[in-house]
Amino acid sequence: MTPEELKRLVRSRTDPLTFADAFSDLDERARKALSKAAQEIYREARKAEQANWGQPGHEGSLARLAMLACCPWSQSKRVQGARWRLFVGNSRRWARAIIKILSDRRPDWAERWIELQLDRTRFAWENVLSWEDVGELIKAGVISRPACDGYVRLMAGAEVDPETAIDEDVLEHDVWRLFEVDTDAFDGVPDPKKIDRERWRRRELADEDTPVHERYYGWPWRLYVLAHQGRIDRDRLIDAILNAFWRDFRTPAQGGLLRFLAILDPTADETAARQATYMELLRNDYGPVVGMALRSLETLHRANRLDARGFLEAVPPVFGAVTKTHAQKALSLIDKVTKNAGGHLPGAITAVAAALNHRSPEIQEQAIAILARWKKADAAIDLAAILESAAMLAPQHRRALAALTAEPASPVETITEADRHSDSRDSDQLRSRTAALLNRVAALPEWLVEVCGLSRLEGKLNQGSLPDVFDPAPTACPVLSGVEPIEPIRDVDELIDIAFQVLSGDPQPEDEERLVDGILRLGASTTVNLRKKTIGLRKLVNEHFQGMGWVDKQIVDAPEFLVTHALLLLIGRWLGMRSLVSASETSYLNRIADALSRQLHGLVDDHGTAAVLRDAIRTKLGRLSPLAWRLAELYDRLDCGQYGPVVSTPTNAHGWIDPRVFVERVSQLQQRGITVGKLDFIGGLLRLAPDFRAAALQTAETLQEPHGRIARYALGGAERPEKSDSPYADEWLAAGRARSPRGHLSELAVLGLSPEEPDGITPATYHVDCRVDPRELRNAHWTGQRSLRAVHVTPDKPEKGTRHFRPTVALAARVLDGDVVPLWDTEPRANPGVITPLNTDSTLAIAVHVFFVSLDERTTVFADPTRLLAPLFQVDRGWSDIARTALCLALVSRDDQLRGTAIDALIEGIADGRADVQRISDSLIEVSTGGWIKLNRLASSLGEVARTSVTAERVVAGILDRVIASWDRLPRDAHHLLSLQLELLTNLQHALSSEARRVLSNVPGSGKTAKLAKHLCQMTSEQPSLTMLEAAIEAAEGRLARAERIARHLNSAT
Amino acid sequence: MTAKTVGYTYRYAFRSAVVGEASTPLVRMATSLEETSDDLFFDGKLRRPAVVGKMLTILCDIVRTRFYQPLDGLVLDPVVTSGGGMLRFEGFSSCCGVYARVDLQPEAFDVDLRGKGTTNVDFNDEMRTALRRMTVRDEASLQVGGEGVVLSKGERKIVERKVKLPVRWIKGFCEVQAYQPRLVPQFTLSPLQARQLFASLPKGRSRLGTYVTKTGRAYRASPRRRPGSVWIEGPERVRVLEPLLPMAERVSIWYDEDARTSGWEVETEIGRLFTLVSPELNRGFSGEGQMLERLAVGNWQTALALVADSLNWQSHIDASEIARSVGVGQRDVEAALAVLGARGLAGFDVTTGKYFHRVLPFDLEKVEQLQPRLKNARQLVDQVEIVSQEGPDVDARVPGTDFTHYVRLRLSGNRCTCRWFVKYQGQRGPCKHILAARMAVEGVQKVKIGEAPNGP
Repeated sequence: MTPEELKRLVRSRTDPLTFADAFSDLDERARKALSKAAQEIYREARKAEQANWGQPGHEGSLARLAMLACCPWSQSKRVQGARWRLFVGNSRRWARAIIKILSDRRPDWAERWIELQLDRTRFAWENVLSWEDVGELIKAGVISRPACDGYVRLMAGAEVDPETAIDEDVLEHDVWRLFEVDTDAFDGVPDPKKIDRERWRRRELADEDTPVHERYYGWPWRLYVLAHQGRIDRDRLIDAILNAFWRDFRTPAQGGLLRFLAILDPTADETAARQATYMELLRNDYGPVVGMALRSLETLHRANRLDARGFLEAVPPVFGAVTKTHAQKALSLIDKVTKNAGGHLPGAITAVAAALNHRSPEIQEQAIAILARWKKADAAIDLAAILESAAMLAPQHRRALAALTAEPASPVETITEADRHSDSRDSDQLRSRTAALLNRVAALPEWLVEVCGLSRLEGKLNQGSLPDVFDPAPTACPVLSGVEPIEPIRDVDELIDIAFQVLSGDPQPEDEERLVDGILRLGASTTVNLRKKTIGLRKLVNEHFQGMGWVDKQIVDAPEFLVTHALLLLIGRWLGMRSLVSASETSYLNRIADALSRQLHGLVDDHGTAAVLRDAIRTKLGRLSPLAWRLAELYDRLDCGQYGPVVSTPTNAHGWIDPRVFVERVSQLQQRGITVGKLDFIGGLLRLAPDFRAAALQTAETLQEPHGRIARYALGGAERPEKSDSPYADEWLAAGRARSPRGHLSELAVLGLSPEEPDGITPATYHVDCRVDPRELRNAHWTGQRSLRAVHVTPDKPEKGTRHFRPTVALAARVLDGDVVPLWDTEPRANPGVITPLNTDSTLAIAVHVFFVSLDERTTVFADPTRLLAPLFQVDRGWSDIARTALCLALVSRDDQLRGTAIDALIEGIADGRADVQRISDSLIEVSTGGWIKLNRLASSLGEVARTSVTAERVVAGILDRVIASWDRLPRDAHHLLSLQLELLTNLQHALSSEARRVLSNVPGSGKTAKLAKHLCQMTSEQPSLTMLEAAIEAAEGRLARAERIARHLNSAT
Repeated sequence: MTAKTVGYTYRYAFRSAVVGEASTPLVRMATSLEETSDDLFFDGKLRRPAVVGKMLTILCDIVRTRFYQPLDGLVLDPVVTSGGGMLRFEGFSSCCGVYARVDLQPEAFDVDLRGKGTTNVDFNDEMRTALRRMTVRDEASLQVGGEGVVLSKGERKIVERKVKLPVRWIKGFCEVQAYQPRLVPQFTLSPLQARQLFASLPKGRSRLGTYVTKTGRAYRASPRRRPGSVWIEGPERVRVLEPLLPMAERVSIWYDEDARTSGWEVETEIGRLFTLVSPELNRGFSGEGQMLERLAVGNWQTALALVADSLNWQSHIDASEIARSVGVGQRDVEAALAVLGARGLAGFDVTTGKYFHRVLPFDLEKVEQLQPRLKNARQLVDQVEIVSQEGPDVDARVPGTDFTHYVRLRLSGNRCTCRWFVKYQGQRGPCKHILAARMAVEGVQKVKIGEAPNGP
């Protein structure tokens, strides 16, 4: 054959086998002569294929055969990959051709090529060659048996025809490799309980009506039959399975092997012969394997064939695993093994000692019960060493174990006076701590003592009670000492950096506000090489803006983007990028409204749907966030070149503004003749901190009207609005909410404000209906049915069109609209609570709705719900009812992040006194009324809280006590809470209240819950233990720390 | 995914073999003819085979896991170093986001270590299976030669062969040496505290981050950042250590606040397992570029050759002692050690706070080729325009892909207007523009990595 003939042959699109046949008579020399031509043909064919999305064509497929037929290894190895990438159409024809070519040519690289093929593909069905094809090549002597894992994968995926005989070579070598390489051979092994082995083996059920699991004829079936026929060694088969459990097999493969072993059903003799192997498997990392080993060993024990000593030496690792099932089974087997076999006791004690360090208190209890029985039978047993090694023992079991090591345990765990004296904490030390604490309290101003819940402290500590909860009036407690100050941008260089960061970095939550403030203050300033430094920034703004081109046109359809849109415009305007916004005589603010009207006007038909559209316009306007509106207003100010401070920029985290700074900013604007923006002024008023209001009120005397009167009213001055102030009604309302965040603002009625608006002149009140099933609410939410609600707001008639001028109303209305889980949040990095930090109930009501909807979701899909809990982290603000409800819902959420955030909040709340037993438990009881909360989640959350301090232990124990006392009948999963309560009361050396005791004293049965209830009821305590006293002192110290911090802050400021 | 490997070839005088009686086997392993390791540098029995087995199993699990994407991990192998009485196994996860090292102290063995050297070890399936099955009752012996590790347990013998080192390992080995010295001890936990902490870590595979923090008397995972807390993204990267906790004496956590990398060390009675976790799940150490500035500029060149000469497989290198013996400043020695670390000639042991000598079996010249940012920076040096220079404060313009960037070099932190910098704020090392500006200012643009002035 000449190179030209080869090319013609390829182009002839002949049949693969005919093509392969054309090379059969060629010797190596002749093939070598064709090598270059084959490569050239292949190159051309590849080019054509690449133009066709890499799909192989007939010519390309023949070219590959030509490569195999003529080329050396360096070229032939290029023919590799999945069959659909190499050959077109039916791969069997190509496979036959390959076999023929390799058989005729017998190249020395044939084996390497086959191994390369097999190892490059993950699944058998990807290969052009089948297991039978490779077997044919082996038989023909073209290759030896491949040693690669790919060969085993190919075999595992092969269709095993029951009628085909299997070579002895395969039985001797290949099948055993199925237990060495992770393949899918065992993935589909049927459940042993569902098959009749005898019939399965005979394939009697192989008809259409036979269930799929009984028709399974993969390798396990084949091996089972072969073992039954005696063609493979059954012992070797069982050993191979047991050894395979140590390999890196995937879980489905491990599970399949377990089922296969169960189908083989090893006899007692077979198990006995391998008991060392089964014992070794007790250390396996895969739980079900450990379970299988334990079951097998138990079978041996029943047959009196278990090597007890070996078992006791091997069993301790079972207790290192997290799961309880195997540990319980292992303890039970240890107990059985040692019955009537005292000689094994030393080994058994060591084994049980390992169980004392198991993570579950239940396992520890079971272990102690076994030890107690042994001790009772033989008082001479020395268990002292065990107590020392049981470092992980739960507190409630420590006393029982200690009793075993010394004297017989008391049947009733009574906290005696002797116990108290033996406590390492010295009561004298606590007394001196108390004295020092009271001295420090005495040095504080009286009002601060009252506000911080430290009044009547001495009496409370003497009684061992916790101090009062921290829940001051909304404007009574200064807050600025507990929140980080926000540094204003210093110069233009920093402004450039922050702008970069906001646009393409990872900005801090307050960076957007700092940026806006910086542009408005420093916009007229410059720096060295400003233009050069901002080339990149301009490009970035342009790119962002072009990317949002569609939004510009349809801004009203996507109000969620308005914050970003306005920010880009602000930056662009500052940098003098006039091209961004076409010149317009109307303001940006008006343009938004105009665009919205125009768009909707086009939709008005002749049938008078104007009312509906008007409503839609108002709804859309309402959805725009207060920040977006404020930015639009500030853009217009920048457009007029009015540089100066932004009144509403927070001075501290959580959105707070120092009132003195607020007055100073307004004053500066007025002195420069700049109109104070309506939304800017309102935004500032709503953020006024309770601190330094008196000082600010004094300086506010110089402010021009109408802002002066409004500001003074907000700061607690004597001013009141008159009817003529109606044009400024929104500003007066914001001032009223700054002055009295939760009060009725009846003095503002003269301004014509509706009393039907929530958080207008009437404060919003929120009611949570916990009888609503979260699953139903979730379905209703995602199907757009807003009628089903868990959170109800009163009053509930917000005006729609202009509510954006009244942010308090707008936020409360979001709850009413049910529009609380936007796909893209309007203010992604901030929490809505920063808009009205004085009263964050609306944010928390939104949180309650969101938490309801996503209660059983592992993670929340669209918005980060944890930021909705941010108001709970304002350290100097009390928690309202809705705040506690949000907290309780988050504590039982499935979302780890959300639950973790709630745990953090509760820990902090307990430490500084915002969380108290009564209110938290009341909220928890209210949330529990629906009967849908998962007590295991609650126990886990509260357990984590309790671990952090002795105060937390005491508060959580108190909460649990009240929750238990509220039960009419015990919930099904009550044991989670009872177990935690037992641990806490043991630590605290305290007992249940009489109410809780009454609930638990009548628990019937002998189950887990009944045992815990009985144990809890047996605990008694006559007076507060030292631990309880310590908790009370620690709680008082937390409150005192706040008071002293505030005092220091106020002193330093004056 | 196909990992690039370094084209480095070992040459052996003979093939490894198991000789002798079955009851008293002698495994003769050939060692490399390269001078990086002795012919036979370890041979001895293990004192706590179960603990060693568990530590090496976890190391292998890390190496073969791709934490970022739940795909099959790459079959990569750890590197072993013997020297100064210690045996250290090192490796990276398949995603290069977790560096792991097992340090076996002399207490782990019943014989002294014999030789010195560094080599790859192929922890194949048989080896891994054998490691898993080790128990406290086993009489297992470990023999490490230049060609690999042989584990003999009873009568079962498994011989491993050397493999080529993946390229990204080299990059990772360079980068982690830059991160480790910056770690500071954050928490030391008792076994009980460690167990409670691990129990509080979010379950399952999670891309969300969590902060390990001490709240009151408890160590726990929290979604909120507090002062002194340690950031972890992808807690499963830490949970992989959990099986070792029952054998732990203590767990130490280290943290670099700026880079947000954390070090987790589980200490057992015969050794410790240390892991360094990258700040983000999708970030490996291989592309971090933390060493770039050090490699580009600095005053380490003078000390480098002297320090390199004084290396002799020490398990702990005393910088002050070397400084005294070679007559250069301690800071220069430390800088030189850091550069040697970047060249694979030294590793850093966080526990002792000292470097240890090892010669990684890869082509050091290739390191520079693997740092495209550095290469690009060198190409830009000639085009750097110094706008102003006042003391240490330098403003410069450096050409970028689409426009000229403005670079500000400041003692408080360098800044650039390029997107790379804006996005990462220097957390992933300096951008090429900052590097180029520094090179232009400090005039050391001709430094080559992997080739010291006089050769290490």
